[in-house]
Amino acid sequence: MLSVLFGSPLREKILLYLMECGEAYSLELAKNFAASLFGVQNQLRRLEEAGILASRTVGKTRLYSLNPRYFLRTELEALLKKGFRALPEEEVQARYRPRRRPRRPGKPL
Amino acid sequence: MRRMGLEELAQHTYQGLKARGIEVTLSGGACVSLYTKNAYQSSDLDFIRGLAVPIGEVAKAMEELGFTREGRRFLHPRSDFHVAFPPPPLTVGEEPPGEAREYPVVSPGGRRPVRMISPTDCVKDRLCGFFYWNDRQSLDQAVLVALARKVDLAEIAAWAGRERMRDRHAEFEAALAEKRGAPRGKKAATESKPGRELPSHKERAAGARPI
Repeated sequence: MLSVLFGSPLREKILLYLMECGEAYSLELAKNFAASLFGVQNQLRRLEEAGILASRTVGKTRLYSLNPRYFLRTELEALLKKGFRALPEEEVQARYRPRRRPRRPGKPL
Repeated sequence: MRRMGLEELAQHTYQGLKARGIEVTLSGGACVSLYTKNAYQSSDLDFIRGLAVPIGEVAKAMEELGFTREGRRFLHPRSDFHVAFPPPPLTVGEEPPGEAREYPVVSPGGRRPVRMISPTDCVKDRLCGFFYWNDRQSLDQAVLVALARKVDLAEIAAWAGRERMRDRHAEFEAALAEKRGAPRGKKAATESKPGRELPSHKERAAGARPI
């Protein structure tokens, strides 16, 4: 859908995921989209270098998000939101609904 | 050989790139250091290049100026500070800044100009860090610049409104008022009058106030 515009299907998925879910780390994205970790890290690096993404470290994990200071942030988010609404519901549930609420230690899955 | 401080490294980088036809503008924390005479000490210099200038061209020029590249940073053997080139364009929040210009900077190497964002845009730039990252250091730096330099507070308030950050801007106003000694909750008297940022004709004739 937007992959030609963004240059690759994986880049489109990463951007849609970060727009919808807020933050993610590279292994989370690689597992979620069954992509290679190297490929995901490569896309994240390029997007961060362009100022589109920003990252911060939590412990040893680097978390990525859409850069709120990116000068086309409003326009990019509008594009991604419109693109996201066109995704099939099954794909949304399968790929874009990670658990974010807390889980008590020792509680069975 | 003398070590280069922040001011001299800014001059060396800016003048060297300019001589090679590359126009860059200093932004970020280094501007805070220069505008506040190091009340806040930045460790790096963020220069923004034009959209049409590829980073490879800048990197080649930086090598000629004696820098070595380490990832995204450029290191000089005579300085503990480093230089970086964040992606263009130059913006403050969602807007382009006002006109950047050359400000005279004084260092042990002499008085030479460096093109920088204005003090008003420097405050906006720091407030972006506070607005979007909740970074209190950025708020402190915005206050330091507003105290040290003439800034257009009315323009900053209007800009914060356009960024949909009026609440956060109120925190900046309160912090500034507190530093100026005004009681909390009341605006400092000077805040109703926007500060004069640009030099007068007399100052222009004599050269703007050096940093």
